[in-house]
Formats: sequence, C-alpha cells, structure tokens
Amino acid sequence: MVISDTAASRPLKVSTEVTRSHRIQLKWALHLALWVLAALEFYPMILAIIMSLKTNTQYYIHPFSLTFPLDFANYSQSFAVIWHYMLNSVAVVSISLAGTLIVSTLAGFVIGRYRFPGRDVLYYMLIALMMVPGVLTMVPMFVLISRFGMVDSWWGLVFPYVAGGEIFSIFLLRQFMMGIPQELFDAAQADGASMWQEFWYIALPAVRPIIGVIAVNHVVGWWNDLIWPSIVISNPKWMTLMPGLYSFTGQNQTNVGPLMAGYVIGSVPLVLLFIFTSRLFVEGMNSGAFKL
Amino acid sequence: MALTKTASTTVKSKRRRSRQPLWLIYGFMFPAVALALIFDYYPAFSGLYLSMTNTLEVGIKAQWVGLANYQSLFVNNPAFIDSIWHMAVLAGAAVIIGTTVPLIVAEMIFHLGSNRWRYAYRIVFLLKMLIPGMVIVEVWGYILGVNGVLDQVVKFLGLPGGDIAWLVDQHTALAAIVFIGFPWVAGIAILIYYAGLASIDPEILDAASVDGSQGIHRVLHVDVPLVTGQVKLIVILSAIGGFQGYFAQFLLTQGGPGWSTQVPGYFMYLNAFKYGEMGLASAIGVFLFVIILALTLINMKFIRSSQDYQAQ
Repeated sequence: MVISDTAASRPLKVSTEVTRSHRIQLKWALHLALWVLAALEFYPMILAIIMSLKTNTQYYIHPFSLTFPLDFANYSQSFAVIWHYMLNSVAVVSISLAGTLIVSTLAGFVIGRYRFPGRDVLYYMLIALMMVPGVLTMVPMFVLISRFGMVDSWWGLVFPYVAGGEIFSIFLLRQFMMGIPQELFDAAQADGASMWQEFWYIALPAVRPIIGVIAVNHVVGWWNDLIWPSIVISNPKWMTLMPGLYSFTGQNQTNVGPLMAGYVIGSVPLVLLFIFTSRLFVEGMNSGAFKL
Repeated sequence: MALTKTASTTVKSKRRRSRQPLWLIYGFMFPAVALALIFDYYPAFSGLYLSMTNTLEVGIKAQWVGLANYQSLFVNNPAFIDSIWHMAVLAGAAVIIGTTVPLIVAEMIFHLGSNRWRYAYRIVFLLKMLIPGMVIVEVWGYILGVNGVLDQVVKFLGLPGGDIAWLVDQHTALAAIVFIGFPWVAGIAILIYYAGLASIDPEILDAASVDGSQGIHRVLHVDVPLVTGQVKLIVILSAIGGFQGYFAQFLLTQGGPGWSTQVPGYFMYLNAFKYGEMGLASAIGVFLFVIILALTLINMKFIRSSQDYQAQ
C-alpha cells in the first residue's frame, strides 16, 4: 500500500499509464506465486486428506491421487480409537493451562505491582530459566518424575508443563501488570479493597488480552507435544493425543486410510481453535519470537 | 531485556511501597518459585551431576566417574563426532533456509497492495504452524518413500533417481531430512520479517522510489539492510532449533540408515530411554546446553533489535 499508492499519486511519474499496468501485472504475479507456495506448503495436509479417503485396495493402485468412491468409513474407524486420546489431551492441556495461568498471574501481579525484599532476585531467577533448553533437562526431569512416582500419570506431564510454561508467562504478565494505571489501584484502595480484590477485580481484567495470547500459545505447544509424553506415559489409558497417534501409526502401517484419517482428526481441534482466536495467535507469535 | 529495564525505571516512581503484609506477597510468589526450583532448577543441576556419574537407569545406584562420559563421547567415539557434523549440516541448512525463504515471501506479501490480502496470507502461512509436527513429518515419510510422491515427480520429469527411497539411502537421507517441509515458508520467521518490513519508515520508501529504486533493487539495497536485526534473530533461532531438533530422526529414520542421519539430540534420547545409559545421555544434554547457551547469549545482544517489531 505504502509504495504503490504514494508512488502512483506522485506527479513526478511521466508514464503513469505504463507503470500502472506494469504494477498490476506484478501484483497478479505475486498472488500467483503466493498461491503456489501456499499449495506446496499445505500439500502434506492435502495428501493426508486424500489418502484418508481410500480403501486399502484403492491405496495400492493409486496411492496419492484422489480415488472414488471416497471411503469415509476410515474416519469413524479411527475416531473410535482416537477420541479417548483426544479427551486425555484436553484434560492434560486444561489442567496445565489452569495451573500455568494461576501460578504466573499471581507471581506476575506481585512482581509487577509491589516492592518487597528479594523481588528482583526472584524475578531474574525465574526469567534466567529462559536460557535453559529442553535438551538439558529432559533426562534429569525423567529421573525426577520417576522419583515422584509420576511416570504413567498425567502429573508427569502437568508439572513440567506448568514449570516450563510459567517462565515466559511471568515475563509477559509482569510487563503488562506494570502498565496498568496506578489510579485504578488507588481508587480501589480508597474503597478498602484487599490485595485479593485488587488482583481479581483490577489486575486480571486489565491483562486479559495477554492472558489470551499466553493461553493460545501454550495450548498449541502442549497439544502437539510428542516426545516428552511418549517417554512419560506408556499406558494407553492415560496417553495423550500425539503419543496416541504415534502408537496408532505403529499399529496401522498397512492401514493407510484409517491412519491418515487419524492424523486429520488429530489436526482439526487446533484449526478450529485458530478460527476463533486468530488475532490472539498472531500477537502471540510475535511476542513468542522472544522465546529462546 | 533493555525494554524491561527502561520500563521499570519509569514505573518505579509510581509504584507505592506495599502496605500489604509481606507473607501475603510471598504467598503470591510461592507457587511459581517452588515449581521453578523443583521442576526447572533441580533438573538442570542434576543433569550436570548425572553427566558425571555412570547412571544406567532410574533407581540403579551409580558412581561418580568425573569426566569419563565426556571422554567416551569426544575422545573414544568418532561416531559421536560424526553426529555433530550431521547436526551442523542440518542447523546450517535451517539457518540458510530460515533467513532466505521467509524473507522473500514476506517481501512478496508486503508488496501486495491491500492490507486485507497481506493479513490473509500471513494467516494462511501461520495456520500451518498449528498442524501437529508429527502429522506433517509422517506424511513427508510417504512423500519421500520409495515410489513416493517425490519419486513420481522425478519420473514424470524424466530425471534420473525416480526409484530412490530418499530416507533409506544413506547418500540422500540427510538431504531428505532437510527437504522435509519444502517450500519452508510457514513459521514464525515470516511474521518477524513482515513486522520488520512494516516498521520501515514510509518516508524512507518514498525517498527510495523518488530516487528510482524499485523492485529487486529496492529489496536488496533498501529493505534488506533495514531488517538485519530480524535476520540476525532468525539466524540464532534457526540455529538453536537445528541443534535441538530430532523429530525426523525420531519418527522416520531412527538415525539411520547406518548412522547417516544421527544427531546428538536423538543419540541422547536413545541412550537415556532405549540403551539404558542415562549418565552418558546427560553428558550429551550438557554439551548441547553449552552450545545453545552460547547462541542464546549472542541472541540477547540482538534482543534490542527484535524490539522493533515487538512494538507492532
């Protein structure tokens, strides 16, 4: 917009007619190129959908092209296995999200709004953890989880998720808490509000947008997590979606239709989430670029 | 971090000394700090400790062995050195791809006239990031498999190599892993570059167009120099991702064929959870941590420049 509009309205241009048609051609070329790139980028998903609609016979004859009749039975067959893993994932993600948000809003609130001995030490102690990558802690974390008897339980996922998720959340929440106008708190204090009331009625509503951003990002990360949950949980009863799909993959190597249907089903919930929260997601991705 | 500091100095004057009881304030802090100590700090330090023991599996008593695990990795294990090379190749490819492709696409999106299209394309490419990585990599296994989609394309074009199982041939397996995700457009990088381009002062662009700088010329001589901060950030982020990642090995190659796609991250996973060598695995974890920490510290220097797009 910047370049084309300002340049076109500029009287300096002599051959306006020529450059304008030139520019329109360029724009069409850009659109075309972007569509091609998007098609290639999404080709694996398109392929998964095509393959998910095949019977085994259709797959052996024409593995990658669309074949008719479309076989939707694969979906019901996969869903019968996968819904259970999806529910487990919903539970684990919900518990982890609730934990992360509670823990990090409380800490972000007092760090951002109060002065107390040790505040800065505690704050830097927390955000220094952004420099510790998952590869360092994976093995010792498993040792710890085993000592706590959390192997094969959701807690072995929830505690590491909350402890990992709270760090960046506190970093963001502190900044937003500091940005709330002091007048709001002064007024509340004049009315005799307690610390809890300040937290609940003033701070939390004021930082709601960033809470949404934090939530959406964590949900995506945890929902799609494969390696850690596949280490912690081996009992299918407690398994979350990605390790569930992984073991489903092992069982269906010769059953490509249902396998792909399972992949498609597993991808749908986040796409639905995205449709409702795309703006939050874009903002979150921008701030997520800080993440190390 | 720079932003945080300036913000806190301006706000500090306004922040009142608390009239709340201290125990309540510390009570608010307690859950976060306790979780961080138990589930972040303890594992980090116990990882350093474990790397100097001969721990085999959880619950088996182990002895202190000093640097023996490091010695067996770096001195006695040429295969491990090979895996470092593979990691370097993959990380290098990630850096080259991550700095070029998203920048080109961000330029293309930025050059579109309407803001609605610009937003729409960014959303479309962002959408890909929601699809579980596992699903994408598994489907790529079919694309790169013998008689897979790639083979059929190669045959259709009449090129040689139409019968290669790209991930199973040890000459092509590592390159095939790089190829996963082609055309590598989606991801956070595109948003970072786009935001960088959008934050360029319109007057600069005006001045450039008055000077007759347009198209490719403008991109190379005006835009690229103005988004070097973003480029540096992407270099570091891609490198860190490249050093840590072993998704394709985990799902498709298991480090093979032979040892041709093995990387330290996956070797660590295997040692810890398949071979029962947790001490050795921890040593690999510490090694990766040191590399990534170095990159992270470099990254900190560039965080100021990444603030530019943060404001968008």
